[in-house]
Amino acid sequence: MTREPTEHALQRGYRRLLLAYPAEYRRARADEILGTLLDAAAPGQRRPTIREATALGLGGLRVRVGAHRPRTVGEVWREGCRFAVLFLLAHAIAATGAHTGRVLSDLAARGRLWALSDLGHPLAAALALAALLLVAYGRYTWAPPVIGVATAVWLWPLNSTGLPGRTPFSLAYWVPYDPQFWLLPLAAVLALALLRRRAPVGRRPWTWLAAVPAAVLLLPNPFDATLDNQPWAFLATIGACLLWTVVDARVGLAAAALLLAYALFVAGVLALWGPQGDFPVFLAVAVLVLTVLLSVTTVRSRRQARL
Amino acid sequence: MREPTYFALAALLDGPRHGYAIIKAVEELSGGRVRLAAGTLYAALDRLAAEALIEVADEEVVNGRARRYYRLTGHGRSALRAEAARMAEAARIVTERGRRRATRRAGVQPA
Repeated sequence: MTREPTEHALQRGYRRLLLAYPAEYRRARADEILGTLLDAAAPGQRRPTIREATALGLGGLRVRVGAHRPRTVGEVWREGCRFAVLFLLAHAIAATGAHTGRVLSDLAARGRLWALSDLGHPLAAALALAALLLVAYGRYTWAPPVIGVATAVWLWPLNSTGLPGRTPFSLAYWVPYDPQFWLLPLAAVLALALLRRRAPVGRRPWTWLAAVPAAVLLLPNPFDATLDNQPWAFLATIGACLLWTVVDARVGLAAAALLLAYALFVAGVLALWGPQGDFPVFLAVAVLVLTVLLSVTTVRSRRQARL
Repeated sequence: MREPTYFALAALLDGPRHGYAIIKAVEELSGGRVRLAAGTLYAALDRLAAEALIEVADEEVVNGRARRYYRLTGHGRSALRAEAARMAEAARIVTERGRRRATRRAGVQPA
């Protein structure tokens, strides 16, 4: 008499867990998986086991992000490299977007720019956005030159600020004054690697545009509204990416690229100015976390590649 | 090839099986060591089908739910045999050395 309500409760529990899979997959497979789950259930079992729940949750997320498809280790790294370029570009757009807002509001209020070089901010944002769309849609040939021009335009306002005792147009002039300096150069180098070995494009490339508001909220940038979130939001993002490698190893490489951009900035400051505040500690922690991210990505990519 | 995948393919050697039958067969073949969760099994079946190592042999409706039977393809059978041969070769290296050592030790022991 109690068997039916028990089975119904269990079925409801499993159906809820199957929501982890995308709708299209559920239409094709959910009934079959549910049948197997109910066949495998112990007599009188009312709730899904933790083991089954974990397997369904991870399986569903992997299908959603496309990490379930067979890939070689090389393909996982190549696609991770593409993710890294997209993360770096989204962050660069967010970083220069704040300056763009200031320049445009100044222009609207005063009817003219403070300096012509201020145009560098909106131009760099527009070029980085174009590069993000190029990489998202797999147009890899055009991405490196566009990112290269975006880098040059990014540095234009920085060169015009007239910092005392520094030679313009040199690394010593740029590096210590802009924590986001390395985002575009790193993206350019990785985009060049994609030219040699092209990574496939996802089914909805335009969804990468959502990475820009996410970068505004979560990554360090000059937006007043999100400045207070740092450095915790950044650390939480890197931690979440590390955890996400269980679902998709490609994200580990993208998080490593973001962290590397800041580690290079801190290393540059230390090299030019000597020990500054907590910078040596930050650099040591960044190198440690980078090592962990790359090790985990290596292990997970091998596992993802094995049948 | 991972152990669960190896046993899932081995479970299909005797003919087509559906999901739950594969889970039971894997547990039996591995002496209870490998217990596949349904989520893990279907992820493995998807990958094996994408690599053309298995295919759907038949489909029926049981209790209003679809039940698919999977079978090995020719490619899957060859891949499984190649993996078994690789493991047998790896095992042979260890067992033969162990046997040789034992024989040598027995030979030098005083009568």
